[in-house]
Amino acid sequence: MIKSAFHWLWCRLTSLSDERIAFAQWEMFLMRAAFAGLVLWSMGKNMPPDSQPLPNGLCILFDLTWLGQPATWAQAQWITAGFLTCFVFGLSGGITLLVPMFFYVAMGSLINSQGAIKHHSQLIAMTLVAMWLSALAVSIWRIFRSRRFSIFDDVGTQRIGIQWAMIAIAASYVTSAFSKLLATDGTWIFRTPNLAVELVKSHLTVFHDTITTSQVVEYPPLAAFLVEHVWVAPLLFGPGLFIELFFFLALAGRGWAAVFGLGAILMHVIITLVMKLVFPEHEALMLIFFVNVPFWAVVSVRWARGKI
Amino acid sequence: MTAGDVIGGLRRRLKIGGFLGVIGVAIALQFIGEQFPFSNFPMYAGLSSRSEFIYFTDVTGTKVGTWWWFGEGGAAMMKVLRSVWKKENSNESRPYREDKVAQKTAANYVYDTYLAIQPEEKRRQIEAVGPRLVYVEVTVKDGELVLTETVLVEREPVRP
Repeated sequence: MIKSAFHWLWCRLTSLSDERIAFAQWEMFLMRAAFAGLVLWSMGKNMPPDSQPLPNGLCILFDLTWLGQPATWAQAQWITAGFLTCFVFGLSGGITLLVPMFFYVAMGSLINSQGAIKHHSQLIAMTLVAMWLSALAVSIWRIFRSRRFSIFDDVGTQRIGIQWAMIAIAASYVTSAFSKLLATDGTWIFRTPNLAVELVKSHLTVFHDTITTSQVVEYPPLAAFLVEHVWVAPLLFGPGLFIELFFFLALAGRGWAAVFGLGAILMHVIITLVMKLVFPEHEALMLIFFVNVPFWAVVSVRWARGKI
Repeated sequence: MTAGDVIGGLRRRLKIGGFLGVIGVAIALQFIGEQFPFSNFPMYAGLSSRSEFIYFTDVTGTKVGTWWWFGEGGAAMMKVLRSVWKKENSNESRPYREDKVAQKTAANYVYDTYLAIQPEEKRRQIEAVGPRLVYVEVTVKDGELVLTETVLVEREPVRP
């Protein structure tokens, strides 16, 4: 039975296709709208600093400290909102995403130029870059091949944009798994009991960051448990590594995308509960591009009405 | 010619599908490393048996919320401290944990930098209590969690 199960799995895996998903226009409209909202929300909750003592990213090439003025940053958000609205309604991403991408990447570069690298906004920035690049590549290719340029992205171009966005996001998870395996010579899972020290650190850091009265330090009981029972950590954290490493399979179709999207959200929820680290941007990107709630809602309704 | 035809042609020429695209970008991210917007996402990659963080107290040892003082968390300030030390000691091969003098220099620099960007009133409040920056190392020794604290910044209270 186990042999036949493996055979079935092997046949399924070897027959997987990484063809582009044929998203409907209304799905892509909702995806673009939700993504635009996410970009604006993320910009609204961040304020880029007006210094770059240890330049990173774009700050290595340019002095972007002018963007750290509150009035300038407020204007940047309004301009971004204008361009993103045009993008949501189908105007060419090659044009409409350039300015939002610049402001967002500049913001992240400034934040990461203070000496501490933070990982909250890379995924959104890479998605912006991927969607902009895809629209630009298609437009340039079309101009060279047929001497035509359209101010609107057609359905095919929009699908390519979504696929490139999914590739960028999936690649981030896969490279995270690569980093873990490279840094530990492939033994990451066996070192997971050491997460106990990170757990203590993250709990105590949050405690000391926000202490207001003479509260007593409470050590996370899970940390001591992980040290005492070294087999628990691999079971608890190991699946997360596999989700990251095989995230490229999320490109194999809607079902795979939804499964890996939900898996990644579950992973982030567990990280939040255990480590007190929140990544709402990552979870939102999973919901928008991989779980694709509107599509499955429509499928469920049709199924309930007996049309499937 | 539709966009599908265009990309179909590209795909046939370059033989790039979704899976290969993901693996290719993932490998590229490893080479680029931490350059925004790109990252190889190395959080919890090494899983060493020690970790570290900082917090602040006043002159009496009463803990004070790092966020309330500096508008920044202790984890980010710890990363800045490490970056400053690495920048100032780029030729040194030994880890900064072993060099207490360099650690103190970097910690004082980080404290002064964060203090300098605070509004005047907040700055006076912080200086008035005689702040201490405490560095904490968390390690596992003989199956037990051990916390070691070292005061890296000690300032006398400045009366307004």
